Amino acid sequence: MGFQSLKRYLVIIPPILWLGLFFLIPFFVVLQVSLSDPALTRPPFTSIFTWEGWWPSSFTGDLENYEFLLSDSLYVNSYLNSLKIAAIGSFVCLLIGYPIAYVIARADANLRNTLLLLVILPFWTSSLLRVYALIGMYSPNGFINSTLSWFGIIDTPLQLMQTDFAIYSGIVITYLPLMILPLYAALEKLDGDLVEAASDLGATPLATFWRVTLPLSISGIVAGYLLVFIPSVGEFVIPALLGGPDQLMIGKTLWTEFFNNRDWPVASSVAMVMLAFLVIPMMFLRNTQRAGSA
Amino acid sequence: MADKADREGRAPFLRIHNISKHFADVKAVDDVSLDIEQGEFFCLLGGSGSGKSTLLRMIAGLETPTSGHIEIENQDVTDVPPWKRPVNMMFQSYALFPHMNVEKNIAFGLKQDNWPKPEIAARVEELLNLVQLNEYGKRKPNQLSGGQRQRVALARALARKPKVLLLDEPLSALDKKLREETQRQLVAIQKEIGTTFIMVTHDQEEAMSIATRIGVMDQAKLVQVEAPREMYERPANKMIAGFIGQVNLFEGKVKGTGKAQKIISVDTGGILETLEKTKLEDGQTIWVAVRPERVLLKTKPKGRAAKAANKSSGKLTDIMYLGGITHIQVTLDSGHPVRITISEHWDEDEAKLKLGDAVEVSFEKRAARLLVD
Repeated sequence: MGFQSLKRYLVIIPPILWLGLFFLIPFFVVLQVSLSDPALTRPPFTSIFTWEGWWPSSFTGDLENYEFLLSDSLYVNSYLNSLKIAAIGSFVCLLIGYPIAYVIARADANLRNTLLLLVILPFWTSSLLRVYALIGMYSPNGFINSTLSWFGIIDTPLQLMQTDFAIYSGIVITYLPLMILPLYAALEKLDGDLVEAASDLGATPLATFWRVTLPLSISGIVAGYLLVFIPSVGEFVIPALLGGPDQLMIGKTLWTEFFNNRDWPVASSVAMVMLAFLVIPMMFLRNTQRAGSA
Repeated sequence: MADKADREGRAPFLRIHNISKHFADVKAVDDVSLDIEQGEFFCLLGGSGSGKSTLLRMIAGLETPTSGHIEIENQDVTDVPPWKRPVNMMFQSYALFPHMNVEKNIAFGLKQDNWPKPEIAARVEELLNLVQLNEYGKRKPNQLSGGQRQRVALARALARKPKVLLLDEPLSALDKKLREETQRQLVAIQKEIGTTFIMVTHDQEEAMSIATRIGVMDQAKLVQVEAPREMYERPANKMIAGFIGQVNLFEGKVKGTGKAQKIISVDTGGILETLEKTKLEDGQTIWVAVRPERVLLKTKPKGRAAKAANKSSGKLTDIMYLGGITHIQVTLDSGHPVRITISEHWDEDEAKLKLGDAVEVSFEKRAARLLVD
């Protein structure tokens, strides 16, 4: 091994150690817990190995917890509902974020930086606070209801809290910048000559958008969509604060299993299944990114 | 009424009427009028910032004129959006759609015009033949060389059979050899299909070799419109004389009036004579322009040189032998440099001239062009 390759190893070893220590080992811990059984011990699960000195002598793990997840419709429904809410919420983000990103990308250089700053600015406050602010808007005596009743438009307060609408608006408020930034990056790279060429070749502005602008920003759309979709699936704060008891989301279910039921093995298997759900779109993202850069 | 007669008789194919374009308080194009006939290969020539590209973009509809209007076959198209104009443009950057292969790029406009599928396929085939890219229909633009991309851009711009094809510096990204080859192809294609071409270029040689007529733009104005030969022989002013080819300019002062009027060279004090009969005023400053290939050179005769018009003496200060032609520079006794181009085979021994020799330069009256600005 030459000196050069030694230096290269010195550079890549710290991040590998970091990822191993704080990502890979915890991952295996959770995997191990998900295969074990709950117990009235501390921590509250059985060990899946019996140890003989340094070597495990027998393995007692099983997939019981995963079978349990399938047997109870609560979990299946939580997953499906989470995927649905994340998918729709990300789509709403896309619909709102695309025009914003487009305007920023087409603005002149000075204004562009200001607009980008305005997009990122809400990120400087805690997302918890932003969701609490929505409660202040939506609650029965919150801003919207009190304003509407002050003008005499409504007599009884509207039910805004604990609705799908509240959850979707929570997702939009929390994750919109994550949608706008990759879209902006894709649209900013778009060559203005291509748009002019399309209109010169007979395409109306709408046709130009469908045939040139949209296909050329697809990498930004996929990246932004997944950046919003992935954290939305496991979201806990938004459904916990804005949603009602009947709005099942997997993040909330996970929380209940861990802290209310203290069933760590089931909670871990919930987490493992969620991870599997999210790895698939991540691989998809990687592939489109690779195709985009080629 | 003359206008009406024009419309009924030989109305120009493309008519640009007093077009101006102002960006904020900058005049990009200032009151330009121009008629272009069907089938012409017209070159708009000018330096950067002269307004030539803006004028082209206004014809395409990509810029809205501040004032004036544009007619194509008697149809006022000034307010027609670009996607409805019977013109197409080939962009300097080619602007090929990176997510579409060559065929789809060429078919883009046809699909937009709702051509039936088999006709699109036939037209694409025909265009690929025209630009000799039959093998490359399925390739993406990033899998093509610069020259191939240029030809795809040309094919795509021609696909909808535009009445006018606009070309914005179409050859500027190609290297010299490929550029010359492509110039010939471009002329051949234009002859074959007979479409009116309007090309913007900053390369005067390119304009000279391609165009049927050249329009020279300078500082937002269209200064002169002429066929290449006439433009070279009779430039309208000093700027054009220097821009189109090389030129020797001799500054002169007009002395006297009527028959006794003379032009005295400011540099040498000698008399300058031309065949032109421009009316000049006493004391006016003018310039006499002579092309380097029309300057005559010989060894300075021994003894006192005869004082004659258009004749002066100097020293041979530079010889640049290029094979087919030789560039020579003579510095007159006054210090004024004169460029001379000799196209016969230059042989120092035969010519009996070498660096530092005293020489006599002269030019014929008919070789001189009188310029007032």
